[in-house]
Amino acid sequence: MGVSVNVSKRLPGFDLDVAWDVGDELAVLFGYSGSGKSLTLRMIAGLLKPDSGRISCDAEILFDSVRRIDVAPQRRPFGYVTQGCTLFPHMTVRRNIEYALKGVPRAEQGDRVASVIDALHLRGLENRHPHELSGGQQQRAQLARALARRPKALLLDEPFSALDAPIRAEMREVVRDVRRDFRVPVVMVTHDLYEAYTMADRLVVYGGNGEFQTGTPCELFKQPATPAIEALLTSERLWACV
Amino acid sequence: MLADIGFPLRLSLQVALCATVLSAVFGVGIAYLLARKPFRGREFVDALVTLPMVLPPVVTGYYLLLLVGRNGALGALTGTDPGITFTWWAAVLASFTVSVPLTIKTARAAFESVDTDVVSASYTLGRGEAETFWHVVLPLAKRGVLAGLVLSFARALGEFGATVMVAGNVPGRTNTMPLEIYNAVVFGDWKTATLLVLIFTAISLAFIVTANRLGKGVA
Repeated sequence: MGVSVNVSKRLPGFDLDVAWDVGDELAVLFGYSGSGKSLTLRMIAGLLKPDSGRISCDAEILFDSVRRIDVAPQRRPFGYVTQGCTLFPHMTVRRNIEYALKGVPRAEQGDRVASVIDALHLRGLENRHPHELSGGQQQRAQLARALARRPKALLLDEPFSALDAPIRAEMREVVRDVRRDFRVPVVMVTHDLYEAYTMADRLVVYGGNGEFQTGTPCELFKQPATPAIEALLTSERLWACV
Repeated sequence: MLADIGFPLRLSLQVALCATVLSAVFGVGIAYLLARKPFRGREFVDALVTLPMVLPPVVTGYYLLLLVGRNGALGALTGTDPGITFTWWAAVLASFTVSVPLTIKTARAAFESVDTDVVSASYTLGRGEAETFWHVVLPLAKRGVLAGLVLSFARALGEFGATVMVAGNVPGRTNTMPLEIYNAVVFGDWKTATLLVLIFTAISLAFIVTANRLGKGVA
């Protein structure tokens, strides 16, 4: 169960070699901005093609450079949510959610829409357009839209970083509830240690220089594998305690 | 005495409308490829399709004659005479070639201004490229695309140089409004010329105002 990644990607001035797997849990990718966390998610979602390697979800292979498999993003079983608002500005919240339900029988669509609207507390906002929503409401609508497809995993790329602190706290609760109610694995990118520490079942630390470490937050704080990872966790921890 | 201006007026509208339909299909298609597909030689293609906007229309007309004329490349290629010269279809071809760059330029800018993250979101929601184009990209670029088509229509309506090269100036067949103005002046029929010029100016002004309003998003 879960998502498994083992890929390389050469980019101008930056090489990314990354390997980790996460199971049915809430996994947090943590590290400095620019360490390749978001790129990893883009590769999993199929929006960026790795140079080599393998990506799979449950038993399904989505990318395999040796076997020349590269599943198109629209056929990958993920819900992908980013920091900015990617709701379709010309559609209402309801239309945005319905857009994700291609192939779902009409009779079932109503229930699907209702279930995600309730889960993300969007009652009363169904007929608004994205520009009529607050930042937090926009993020909830994006989560609702991503969940409507019943994804096999949720990929969240710094989903709260554009929001104010109180709303962020609320959104962390929302994500935890969604993970429990929809029984969906979550892979979330953040560069906020507090967020990483309080939310993660499993932490994947991007230490830079090709260093990675995976474990529970507790394990990683107690036994960081390299000085760089220790520095990353320690400096951030001190800052977080101030 | 006022010459019959009904035929040239109707012919011009008919030619410009056909040219604009072609622009809507090919111009918008090319604009989408230029905006969204980073292929090799993309800027060269852009320069090539922009050329008719910069070249004297007579020169564009000469190239078209080389392409579709009696001894033209298309005829040589297919072994047949395409035989559209001196028909109103030749006028459509000339108007299209000269006016399509306005659609391509404007629509490309409109497509490029659509947020790529929103387009990516459509893919990750299970929609392929064609569906994404119809439901997301085109609706979000609608104003720019329409503004481009309005400008193309106005330009097609006034096409003279390329038209006279490939369609000639056959009374009752290919004498569009601009050609008829020229004819009227040549024959000293100033009344007809003035009337046509005034009609033309009014139509053009209306189109520019429409295009500007579309561009500013107040139409």
